Amino acid sequence: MAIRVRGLKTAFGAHVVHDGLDLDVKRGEILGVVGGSGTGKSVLLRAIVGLLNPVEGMIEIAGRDKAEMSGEEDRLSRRDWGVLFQDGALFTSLTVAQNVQVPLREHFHMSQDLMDDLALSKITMAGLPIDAAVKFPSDLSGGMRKRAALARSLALDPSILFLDEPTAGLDPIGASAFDQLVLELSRSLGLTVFLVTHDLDTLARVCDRVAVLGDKKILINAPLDEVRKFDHSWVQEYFGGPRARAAGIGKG
Amino acid sequence: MVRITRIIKDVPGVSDILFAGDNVKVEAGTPSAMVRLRGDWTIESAENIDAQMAKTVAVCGSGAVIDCSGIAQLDTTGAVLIRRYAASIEASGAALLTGVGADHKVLLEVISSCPPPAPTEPDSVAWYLSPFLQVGTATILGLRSSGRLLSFLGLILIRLFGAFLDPSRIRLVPMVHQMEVVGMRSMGIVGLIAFLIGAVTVNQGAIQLAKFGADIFVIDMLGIGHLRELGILLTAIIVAGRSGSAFTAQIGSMVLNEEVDAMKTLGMDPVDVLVLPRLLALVICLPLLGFYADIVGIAGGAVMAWIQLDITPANFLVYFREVITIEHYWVGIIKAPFFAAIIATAGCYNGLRVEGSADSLGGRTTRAVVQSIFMVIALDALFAIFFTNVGL
Repeated sequence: MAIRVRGLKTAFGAHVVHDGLDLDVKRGEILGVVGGSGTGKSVLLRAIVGLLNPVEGMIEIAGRDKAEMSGEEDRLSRRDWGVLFQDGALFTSLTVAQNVQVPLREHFHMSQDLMDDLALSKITMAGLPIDAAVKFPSDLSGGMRKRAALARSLALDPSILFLDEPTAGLDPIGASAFDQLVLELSRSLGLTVFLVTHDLDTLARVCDRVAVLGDKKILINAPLDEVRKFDHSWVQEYFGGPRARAAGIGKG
Repeated sequence: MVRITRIIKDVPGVSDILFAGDNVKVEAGTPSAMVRLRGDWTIESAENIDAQMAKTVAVCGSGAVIDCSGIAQLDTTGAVLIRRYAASIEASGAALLTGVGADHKVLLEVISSCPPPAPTEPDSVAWYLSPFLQVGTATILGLRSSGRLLSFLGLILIRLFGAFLDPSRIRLVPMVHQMEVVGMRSMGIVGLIAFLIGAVTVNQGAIQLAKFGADIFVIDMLGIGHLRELGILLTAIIVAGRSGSAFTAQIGSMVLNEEVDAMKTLGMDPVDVLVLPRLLALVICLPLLGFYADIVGIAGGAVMAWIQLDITPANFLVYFREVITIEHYWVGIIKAPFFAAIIATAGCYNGLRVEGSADSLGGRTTRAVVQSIFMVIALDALFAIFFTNVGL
């Protein structure tokens, strides 16, 4: 089990986002997390990667309870996951290649030559043209910035990848290439992917299982076919709408 | 491009070992050496592998067969290392990759389709040219930014004039809010510094003047120095550091967040919405703060005079009223609105000029403070000459 969440409760003041949430992500699978706006998809992601302290509950990553890890262990365990933030969150004062090298520099002492080679490989793997390496994030389009951020999240060869709406704001060709990329990477590297998305095409093409957030819990966590049959008004509306039909997963 | 095959060409017979490390073993063979990769080829051992492979390439001579069948774990970093060193072995002859496991093959294919290295940092000029480049760039940028600042000042004056003709364009609520932030909330620090400077002026002045038996004149010195120059100058410098930088940071982060662009598309003029309330608030508050700094500074001086020279506050006031005329106060306070305009203009201008990165925001904030303090002091010098010449 790559990620195990039990009885998670998160809250901002009196506003409770999750209450008694349980979630399992199996090793090597791609899990898509969906839910209406404000159901706390991003909050769940932030709680799992440790950017937000849950009120109660247990979060286990790769079999280790986060609460029991020391500061140094926690820091080292972070090498093992990559996070792609919604807007990329690239360091604006560094070039794309330097952005990719930041985690390498922080955790290892490689020669600059090797780091350059690695950075360029990751950049091309993420589907960026090679001349983007010397550009600054402010010179890139939104889609390219997202790819650059993916390259950075892949820098340390993580075994778990957290993606927050990776295809939002990409054109359909770019989004489908991104889906393909995630799929290929997860297959060839054995990556576990935790993917928050609204993109029905991504759900249909990429995800092994789909977890639906609602009523402060995970309503269902199952392969798409089962989720589609799940008896809940929001799920029915979500997977029965015209967009779902267009993506080939609706009932019609 | 390195070819990938699954044929394992084992060289029969005993081979000489040319090099052996944790992750690689090189055996001599005909026609070319056999490089057997072993162990984990992952990011954790990348530094090690990098060092071992550098030696491997050296002993390989003209080409090698690279046998990947001994690799336990492979990740993208390992794959990059294989591609990298296969390419450098190939440069001196031929390299053939064999024994690639099915699960590693995909990875190696993804990586070996990567294009060759390109620079990862922006181009830089030769070191001996860079001083000239810096001087040239700084000169041009300086001239350009003076020009821009001037045109920005013009723009503000036009909008301000328009706002007086049509007062409904002045946004009262943000202005009052800014007055609270830049005026009210800086009273603590302005008061503290003015009080201390007043006290120090009397303390040091009295020691020097006592040598001439003229220590009572320290009150003249305090009154003239503080009212004409120190009080308002200190206030302006504190406000420039405190509020000028805040203006730049606030407006600059709005620019980075595309909020300013959003305003423009909503038909709101950034100068009206962001600049004028700040400018007006500062123009109103700085004279008030200056007056307050004058009073507090003189109070500080009076306290020090009482402690050090035994002049009671009552006597201090009587003497003060005799020697200090109201002109000294006016000479000081008349400068306040001009200083305020400089600080607000420099702060807002630099905020609106932020582009791209967090670095730019930091640089602009620094520049706003430096520019406004410099201009405040330069203008103060001009005022001093002017007032002396008109006999005030």
